[in-house]
Amino acid sequence: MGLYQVKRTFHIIFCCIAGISFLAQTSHAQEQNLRIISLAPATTEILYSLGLEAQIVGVSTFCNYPPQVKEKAKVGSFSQPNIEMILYLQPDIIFCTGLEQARAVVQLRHLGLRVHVSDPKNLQELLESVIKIGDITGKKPQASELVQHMRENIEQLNILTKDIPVEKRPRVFLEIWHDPLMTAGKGSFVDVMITAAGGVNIAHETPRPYSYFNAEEVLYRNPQCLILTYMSRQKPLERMRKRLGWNAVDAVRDGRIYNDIDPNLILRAGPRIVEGLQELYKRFYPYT
Amino acid sequence: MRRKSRASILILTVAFFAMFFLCILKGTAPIPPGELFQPQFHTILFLRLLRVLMAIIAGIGLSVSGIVLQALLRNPLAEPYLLGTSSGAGLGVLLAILLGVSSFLLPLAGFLTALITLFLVYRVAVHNGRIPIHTLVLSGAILSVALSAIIVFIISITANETLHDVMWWLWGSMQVYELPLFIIVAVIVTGGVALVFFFSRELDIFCLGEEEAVHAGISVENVKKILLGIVSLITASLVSLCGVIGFVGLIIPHMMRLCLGARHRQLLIGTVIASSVFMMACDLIARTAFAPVEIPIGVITALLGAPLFIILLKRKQRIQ
Repeated sequence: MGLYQVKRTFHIIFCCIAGISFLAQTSHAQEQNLRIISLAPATTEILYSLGLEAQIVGVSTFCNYPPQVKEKAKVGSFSQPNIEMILYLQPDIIFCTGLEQARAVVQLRHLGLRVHVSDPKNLQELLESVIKIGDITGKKPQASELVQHMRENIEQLNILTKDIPVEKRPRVFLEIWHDPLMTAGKGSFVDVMITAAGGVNIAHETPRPYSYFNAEEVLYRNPQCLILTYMSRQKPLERMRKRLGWNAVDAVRDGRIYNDIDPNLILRAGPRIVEGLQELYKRFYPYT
Repeated sequence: MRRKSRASILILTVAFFAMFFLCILKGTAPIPPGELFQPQFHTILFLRLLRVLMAIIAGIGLSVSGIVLQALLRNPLAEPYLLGTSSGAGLGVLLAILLGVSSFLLPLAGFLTALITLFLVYRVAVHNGRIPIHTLVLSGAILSVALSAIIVFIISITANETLHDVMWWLWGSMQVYELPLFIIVAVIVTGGVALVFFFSRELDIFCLGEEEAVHAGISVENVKKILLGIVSLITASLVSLCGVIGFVGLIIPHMMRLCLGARHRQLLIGTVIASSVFMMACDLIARTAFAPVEIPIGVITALLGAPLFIILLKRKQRIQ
């Protein structure tokens, strides 16, 4: 009787160990072969940089870089992902971002799907999120390599700009849209970008990341450099001159109005922000 | 005439079943009909079924509410949101998001504030224990304008970006994720619609005018209060779960009046079936036409409903 019980306990323990080791193996195997869906354009860029192209099974309609992302299945727009399509693709993990996707995240989790939210608000958080994504997808070495590369670029720029006194830094107005006039303030990633590239965002103290901005305030704060993040048929300088009173703005007078930076380089918290920083720096300090 | 309307109802019933199966089989995910019932697609099948049922319930609830309000207020433009439910629910959801209420409870918040709004609308309108219909329409309109202004005001001064949710929510969608919420709403709507059926004779008489209804021996104020109460519950529950879906409550009742005549017994039966078919069709277009991107269903109901209505109207005019 005693022997039988011992035997049975032994059996159970053996089965448990076998089971656990089997599970551990499969979970390890899964990490190598994750089926990934990305609903955030920035995260899609990070995933491609980490060499995960083959494992991405679906992206949002807003994901447009790198160009080969066109071939991936689309699973709905940025803030309204198509749940049926996502379920159909049977992803192991879904990458989302904050803000407008909060509702979608709750719904996806409700259906038992694994969701990772990364919503970096500054450069340090962006680097950390790259490491985190590398951890999740089993691409640790690639992630630290990418972070190393990005950190070096940011550091180089920092060396160039850190000794410039505030009064010598250009006052910058970022025009996200013209009608209504919209800009980015504290809490937005692009505000961090402007500061890191050695500029002073005149809308820095607006309490919302993205908000309407009063034209009167632009005239009053007199920016020396205007960055437009949208395309327009009219030449930007002519356009600004037509605005009542804007001729008095330093940036308009000096013709320092730029709309030639790919908006995704500065608005999207992905690997290409190092290029965006360079571009911004070149516009802020054209003579150096 | 009776035979003709019976034939119309039969055609509608056939269309109902055809549309129901089409909506289950067709979706964004390219799954062949034969494989749809395999275990790995059960979640998708479940979501689709829930969505189709939601469309049916929403269509029935909104169009029957439309019929009742059009009869009670004797106003052909009356629609379910006339009494301020949509902006009331919108404000509730907005406040709930600001207070950090979990998203499962958002519909509940919307439902409560929609009911509070309706109560206020009645309080403003009521005079000596009676509800004069013109005052009711006015107080509904005024309160919904005021509440919409508060919504926009709050959105414009707060830094909370999740408030965009409110916008999406107000646009309306048939996708439901929580079965319990759906069941609660379905019970309220089907129960309410069943009750309305018992009042179909009273609705006929109401259309003649309130004075005539008194002469016909109806206790006008009581019936009015009961019917308004039912309609309020139905629209409040629907608006809190699937947002604002315009046009259905307006167009289907009028279309059915053209096909079946103005007698409420037939009108209600026809409307229940026709609105289900219409909403299922609209939702099918909304989710598949530009898949994987979804079009707000309110856009489809208006784009599909307006021409359908015009065709029916012109045909009727020719016959006359």
